[in-house]
Amino acid sequence: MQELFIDSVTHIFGEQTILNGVFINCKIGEVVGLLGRNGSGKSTLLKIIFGSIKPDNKYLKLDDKLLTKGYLSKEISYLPQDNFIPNEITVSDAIEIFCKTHQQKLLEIQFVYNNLKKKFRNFSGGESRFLEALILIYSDSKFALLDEPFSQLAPLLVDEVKQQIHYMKQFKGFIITDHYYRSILDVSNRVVLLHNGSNYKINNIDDLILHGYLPDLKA
Amino acid sequence: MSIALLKKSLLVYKPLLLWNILLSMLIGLFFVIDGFNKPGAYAMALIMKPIGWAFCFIVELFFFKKASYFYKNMGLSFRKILANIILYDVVILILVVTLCLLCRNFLLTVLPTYLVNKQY
Repeated sequence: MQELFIDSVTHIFGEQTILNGVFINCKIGEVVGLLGRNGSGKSTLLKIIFGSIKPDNKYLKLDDKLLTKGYLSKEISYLPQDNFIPNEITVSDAIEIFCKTHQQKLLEIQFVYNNLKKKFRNFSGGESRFLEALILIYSDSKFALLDEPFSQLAPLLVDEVKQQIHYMKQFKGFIITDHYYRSILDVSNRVVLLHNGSNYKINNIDDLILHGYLPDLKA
Repeated sequence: MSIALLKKSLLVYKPLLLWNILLSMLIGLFFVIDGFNKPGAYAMALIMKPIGWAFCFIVELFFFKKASYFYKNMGLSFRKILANIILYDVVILILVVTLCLLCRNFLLTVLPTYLVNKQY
């Protein structure tokens, strides 16, 4: 089974240790949810895996091959928090560039099919986010790192993204982080919490309360 | 040096390549006016082209930041794209200068005469 594996991630920013020996792995067919408070290092960890941030220490492997920067392997894609497809690109151009293998399935989504000729500058923030998320979910890479894919999306679109992730996980692995923790719990096979620079395995909502991610309403 | 990479680069960096081609044409003009046996135009080329590339780098830093994840998701680093664009730019510069060398007399005498008198 093909696997993305990162271990011993340590990242110090100024005097603050953001990540301290963090470990995470993801196999094809798996959706790993990554939760954590603001500033806990979720996005930083995804950027370290992708290769856009250089940490103080890391050990990154993809299918037993050691990597320095994830993106250079062309097997890891990353959805950043901000829009990443330039405004002058049309939807069909973006699909042509990123989604060669599963293009037909992506074109079955009505919103995508109806807007193929439209440039990204002509979409609203939410629509643009929705399209970018879909394009990376259907991209040719083996692993997709999605940083807040549900933000800015209306509930119907959130559901659509969840369905598409569910469909595509037979072909690739996903690591997803978002503050919509219920959506993360719905879509993930397993959940990891980043807290105090370390990672914790989460089995249920009680674990999230135990580690201080959710308020304890019973108390 | 790859055509496919150039095509991908042009999706975003077309204005930067056009700016560099414009600089190459300006350098070509210096060669036409100054001649090929004087060091002035060569010195100008050596100064102007790096300034053009530095300008591209600064523009990328301020205006094309968004494009960095677009290219990284294709598996390309900005360094690779910039190196490829510079390589093509050098080829274009050599072509422009060669063309100016071949057509210098035409550009200096025949063309201005034609433009002024509308006849050779």
